[in-house]
Amino acid sequence: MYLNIIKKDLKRQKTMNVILIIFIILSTMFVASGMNNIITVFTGLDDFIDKADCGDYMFVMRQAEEDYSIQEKVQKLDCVTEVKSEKYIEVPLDNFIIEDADLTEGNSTYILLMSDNDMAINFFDMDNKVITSVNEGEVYVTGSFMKDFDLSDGDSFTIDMKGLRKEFRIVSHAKDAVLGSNITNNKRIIMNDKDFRFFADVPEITEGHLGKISYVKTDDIDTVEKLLSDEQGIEFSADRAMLKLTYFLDIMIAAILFLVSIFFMIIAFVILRFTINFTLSGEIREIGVMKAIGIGNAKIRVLYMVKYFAMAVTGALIGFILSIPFAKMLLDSVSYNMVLENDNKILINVLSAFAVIAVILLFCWRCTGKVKKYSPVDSIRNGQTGERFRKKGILSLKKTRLGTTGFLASNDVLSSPKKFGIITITMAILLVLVMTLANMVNTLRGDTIIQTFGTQKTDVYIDYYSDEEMYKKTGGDVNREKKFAEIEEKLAENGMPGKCTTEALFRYSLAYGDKKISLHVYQGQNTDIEGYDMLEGDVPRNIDEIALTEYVSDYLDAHIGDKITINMNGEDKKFIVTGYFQCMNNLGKNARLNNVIKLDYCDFVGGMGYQIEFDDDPSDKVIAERIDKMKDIFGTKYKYMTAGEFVDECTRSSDTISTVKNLILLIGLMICILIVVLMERSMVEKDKSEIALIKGLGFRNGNIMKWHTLRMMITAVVASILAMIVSIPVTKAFGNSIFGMLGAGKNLRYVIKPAEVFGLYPVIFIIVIAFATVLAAISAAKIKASDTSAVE
Amino acid sequence: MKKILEVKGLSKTYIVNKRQNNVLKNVDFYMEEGDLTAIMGPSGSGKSTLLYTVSGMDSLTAGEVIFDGRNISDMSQKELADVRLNEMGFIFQQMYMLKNLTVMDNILLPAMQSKKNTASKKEKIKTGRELMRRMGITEIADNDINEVSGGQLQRACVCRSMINAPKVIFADEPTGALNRSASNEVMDELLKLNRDGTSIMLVTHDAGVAAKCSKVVYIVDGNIKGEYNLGRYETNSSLRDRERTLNNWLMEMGW
Repeated sequence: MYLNIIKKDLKRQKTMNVILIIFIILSTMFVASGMNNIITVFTGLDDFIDKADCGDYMFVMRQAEEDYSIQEKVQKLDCVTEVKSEKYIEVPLDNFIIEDADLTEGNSTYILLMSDNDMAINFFDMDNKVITSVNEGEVYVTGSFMKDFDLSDGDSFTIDMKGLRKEFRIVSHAKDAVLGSNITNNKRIIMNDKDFRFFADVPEITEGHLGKISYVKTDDIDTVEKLLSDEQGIEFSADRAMLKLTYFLDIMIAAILFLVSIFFMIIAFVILRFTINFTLSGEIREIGVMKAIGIGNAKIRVLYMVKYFAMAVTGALIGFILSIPFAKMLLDSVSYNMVLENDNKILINVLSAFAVIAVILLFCWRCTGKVKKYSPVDSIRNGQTGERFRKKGILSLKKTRLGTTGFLASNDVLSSPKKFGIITITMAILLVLVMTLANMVNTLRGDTIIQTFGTQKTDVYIDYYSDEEMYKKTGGDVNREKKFAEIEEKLAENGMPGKCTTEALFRYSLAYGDKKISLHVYQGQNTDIEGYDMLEGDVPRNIDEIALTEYVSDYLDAHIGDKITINMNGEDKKFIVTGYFQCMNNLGKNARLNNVIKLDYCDFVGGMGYQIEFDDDPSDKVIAERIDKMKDIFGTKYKYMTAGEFVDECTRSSDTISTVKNLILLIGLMICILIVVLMERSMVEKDKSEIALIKGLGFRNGNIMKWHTLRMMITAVVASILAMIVSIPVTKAFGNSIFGMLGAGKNLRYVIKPAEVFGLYPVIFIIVIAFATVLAAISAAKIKASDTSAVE
Repeated sequence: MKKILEVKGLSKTYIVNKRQNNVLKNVDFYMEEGDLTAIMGPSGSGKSTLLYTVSGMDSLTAGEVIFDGRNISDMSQKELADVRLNEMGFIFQQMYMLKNLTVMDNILLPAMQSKKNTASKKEKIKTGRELMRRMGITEIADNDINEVSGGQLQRACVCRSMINAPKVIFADEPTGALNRSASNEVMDELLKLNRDGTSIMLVTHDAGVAAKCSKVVYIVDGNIKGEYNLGRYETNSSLRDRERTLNNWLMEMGW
């Protein structure tokens, strides 16, 4: 008999049961994939670095043949257990011939060639398998090589260098734990040893272009760092913590997904609780009848528990199956450069599915607890004891100017704040997520944070990916003044007079007391020193002045007014710290020297491209026109960018964040549609008598649809307003913490595009919700006026 | 007298589990302006179905329903909704009201929705208050519907049915859920309305209620078995005599 009751119930409440199962499926999917992602992301990066076997400290030297002494010195340290190295040849990007590719998209001046015989660390293919060897004529490429040049597996490219030419076929993208992150993005090409020798055995090619990356296993990084800080020729060094930080943008996206997963889990459970409560409240009368004929409370509860258990198991099983591809889809955006694997993913998904079933049964047990509270008569009266004296109506038709449908809709929302509050909060959370990510994307594509990349805001940035002259570090000055003058002259000749500047980077060891740090020091070339933003103190104007980032100041314990020492070409020079600035390059490990001092170019490690500031303060449109003109004047081997494009180029993460944002927008809209359909159908079911009644009173179907659609739209509008209010502080809190970990989290100005953030997204949500409500409210049209007396 | 409602060959069939259930079979009858007609019959005879089909609340399978000279069986759902809103009033056995609205707002709702009711908002509120005053329920105007008694609520339903000054009020066992005293109060109000010129068609099981009507239609198995003309009930006439006469007739009908 009980089985029959369940069967009839499942059939009678088909719509509600189907909706409930859909939500169980979604909940399981979100919980299982969310849990999986959380565990994967939190353990993933350490696992990746462990699997790659990068050691505890790494350093890069260009002249590989000369660094044996350094390697030996490091090896001799007591704290060091192992030092291993891999050679590379740096090949200027303009030696690459890639069909249909724009080399200016390369974001790099050099690509590093490596031999499969000389890999000191593990590289992984897209299936996360370690690459052990590469066939002749084939290569694996790391970083954003394939993305930048729009290449796919199996595509070919040619390296043409000093008369040697060879074509290579790409096997696949390879994951490089050391140089492959979005921030580092030093692209490597792993090739067969014979192919590598083809180039490496030619002195004209290796001259000045050979380098070595060394990996040190140690339990005392400070000792290794101190030793290396006294050595010349080290291009870059990083410990494991810094290596992890270079994945910060990837982790940030993973963190967003983690947050999204948590939100989805919360939403799923809230909706589940609501649905179960709602369906059970619709069954109170049935419960009353059962009680009236003498069925005990426990039996009734078990009856519903069996029903919900069956539904929970069905939904959880489907949700579990769907959670596996869903988790993979969420992680795809971050697993391109990282080995993000969770060996226990199936087990986690299974456990999550069981957790969902348990939670559902717990909800049911709690909800069915009401069975005990009601007497049979109360239940038959549909839970109304008639002794409720709380005023439900908030608005008054006598005073309203909203019209009857507007009044009914507003009054419903105000009278049932809990019911409509759920969808308001859900929508608001989803909108805040989308708005925050949109603000982040716009900021990363805007020019407001440009100073945090070690440069001043100018109209045009010219990236000289193939201008080797800028990178020459031997032979001293490259006569930049002459180069600037040439560029300025050409610009003036073409009717767009402006000032040409650049930022040069030198590697020095800064010392204060017994502390020492080796880092990149910026010096503006032809720039106005007054144009740099400082967090505290003043810009370094005089020949003996320097500004530090807060990270460096903290590390050295050197503060404004203190004198630090820099060893320049064997001579110790003192510089007064004049102020603090923030810079995300090298994760905040930077200093800025005054523009006056003449520095020796043997310490030069790179530059940031030519920057043009036009004299006449042109509009964005004019700048775009001038960029086209400059391409004709200076050639297309340079990459020309506006300030916003330059910021985007520096982080290379806006596209990924934008993809995640769009994914969340899509999933968010789907969740909203489901919630709206669920709520609307449930409410139509529950308010059948009211709908029939007002139809009987002469309301048309259109009026009822309008009434129901309006109340959901009111909810959506309230959610949008809430989201608008909350999104800006959330953006600031989120952005400041993210950028802060990169070295620049103070006084940032976020780009907030009101039309997009406060216009487009809320409008999309409101329209979609209205549309979903209209579709769901069609069921109300099927209710006849004569049902007034037929409904319970 | 002008016919306000005329039903010709009305049939209503439900198909349940592929089985045909003929609830109304070729029904003919009419109501004149100012009539107070009671529909009686055993349970399941089709009384309520007749009320809902002639009032345009439910569709009919065959036949015609002429309401105030217009064939409402040909009307679209929109047109029917307009007729119900502006020219008909409804009272149900249960006191159905929107739970989120106060008693007054429930009464005013059809007036506010009606476009044909050209009175100003103030006038509509005044009419609502006046109706409540007439029904003796002014004190519950701003109450939640859960705060008032069944009798008060049913009188509020009568007010709502009257708010747009309908030509006919259809009432489905309006006193069915009330005790004798409350039932009498509601019937007295309906009689007052009828005396003021509103036609009323009501379904009832209560011979005492039917005795106050001018005409009784007896329906069995979807057919009208007989009609009995009691004549207008005046307050000074003997209700007991009318009841006895009606009961005798009902006995003849098989009641």
